[in-house]
Amino acid sequence: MSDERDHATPDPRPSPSLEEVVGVDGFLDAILDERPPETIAHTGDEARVRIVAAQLRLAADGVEEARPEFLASLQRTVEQELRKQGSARRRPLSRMGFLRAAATFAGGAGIGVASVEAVAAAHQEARPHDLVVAGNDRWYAVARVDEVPPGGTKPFTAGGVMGFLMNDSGGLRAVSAICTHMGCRLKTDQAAGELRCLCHDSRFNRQGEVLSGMAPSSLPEIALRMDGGVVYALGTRETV
Amino acid sequence: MSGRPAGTVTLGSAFQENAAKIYTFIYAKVGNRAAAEDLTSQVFLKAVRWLAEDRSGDSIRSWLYTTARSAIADYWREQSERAQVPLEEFEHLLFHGSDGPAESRRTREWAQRVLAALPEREGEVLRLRFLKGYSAAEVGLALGLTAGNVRVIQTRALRRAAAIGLGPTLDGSEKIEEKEGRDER
Repeated sequence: MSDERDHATPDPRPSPSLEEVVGVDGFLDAILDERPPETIAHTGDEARVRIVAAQLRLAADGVEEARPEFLASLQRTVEQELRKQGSARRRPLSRMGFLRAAATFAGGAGIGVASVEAVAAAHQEARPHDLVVAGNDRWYAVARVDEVPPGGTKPFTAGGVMGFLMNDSGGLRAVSAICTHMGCRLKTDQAAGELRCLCHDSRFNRQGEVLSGMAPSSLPEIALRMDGGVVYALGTRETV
Repeated sequence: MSGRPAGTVTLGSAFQENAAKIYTFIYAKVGNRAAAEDLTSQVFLKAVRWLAEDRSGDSIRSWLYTTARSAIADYWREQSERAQVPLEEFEHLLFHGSDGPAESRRTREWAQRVLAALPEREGEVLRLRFLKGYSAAEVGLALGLTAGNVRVIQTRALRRAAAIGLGPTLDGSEKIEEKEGRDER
C-alpha cells in the first residue's frame, strides 16, 4: 500500500503549482477545524476545488448537525427580534395572519398548530414555553379501548399532536411523542420500557419523565377520554 | 387524566426543528461550522423580518431554503473574489437540484460515491483526511508518503472531483474518467 500505483487514470491536467497545493491543504485544515479558511481562492480552479472539498466534508457522519447551544442561542435571538418587531408595529399583526405565517415553521416533525400558538404567544410577550392550546383543540379517535395490551404502546397522531398511547398499571395514558429538547420524534424502546430520542439520545420513562440526556422537561401529557369503546385524544386542529 | 393539557409544545421545537435542517443544508455546502452558523443566523433574522410583513406564510419553508441558497452562493462568491467563476457554474458545483430538504442527503451520497470512485491512492488520501480528520503529515505517516506528496495527491483528487461537478450521477463502481480541463490560467 505504500507505493505509487494509481497511474491507470492519469490526472486530467498539468501538475498543480506549489502555491495551489499549499492553498488547498490550508483550506482542508481550516474546514476540518470547523472554521472558514484564512485565504480566498485566487483562481477558478482553486474555487472549484474548495467548493467540492467543502461538500466532501459530508462523507463523514454527523458533522452537519447543528450544535444545540448554537440553536438555542439563535432561538433566543429570533424570539427577541420577533418581540421587537411586534412592539414596533403601528398596528398589531393580525393574529390569524401571524398564525398562518408561523404555521409553516412548524411543519417539520409533526409539530402542528400547538407550536403556532406558542409562536403567537411569544409574539405577545407571553412566556414562550409550555403554553396551553386554547380554543383550538379537538378530540381525535386514536384507538379501540382494548387495542393496547398491558405494558403496550401505540403511537398516534391527533391533528397537530403526536403522542404515544400507553397501557400501564391498569390504565391508559398518553404523552407527547416529541422530544422536549429539539423537537425530534421519539421512538419506543419496548425492551427497556423507555422512550428514546435518536437525535441526541435523551431518554424518558413511560410516564414521560426525563431519565437522561439534554431534554429540559418531561413530555407533556395528552388528555384522553373513552367513549363507546373508542379512545379519543385531545389534539389540535391542523389548520387555523 | 391529570397533568397539563394536550398540545403543550414549545416555540423552541418549531424554530429549532427548521433551524437545524437549514443549518444542515448550509453546512453541506460550506463545510465548516463557523460559516454555517453565521449564514444560518442571517437566514433566520431575515425570516423574522419576512414574517413580520403579513405574509400568507404558505411558502415559508421554501422561502427559507431559497434564502439559504443565495446566502451560500454569496459566501462562495466572497470566498473566491478574484476567481471569476460564472454563476451557473457555482450552481452546478453546489446544488444537485431544487429540492432543499433532500439536498444534504444527496450531498452525502455524492461525497461517498466520489470517494469510492476516485483512483485508489487518491481516494485513500481523501478518506483519511475527511473521515479521520488526519493532517497531510499524518496521512503521510499512515501511507508511507511524504506530507508534500500527500498534498499533491489530495489536490489532484479534488481537481478530479471538481471536474465532474455534482452530476450526472456516478455509478458507484465506475472510476472517474478523465475530463476536459477547465484551467483558466
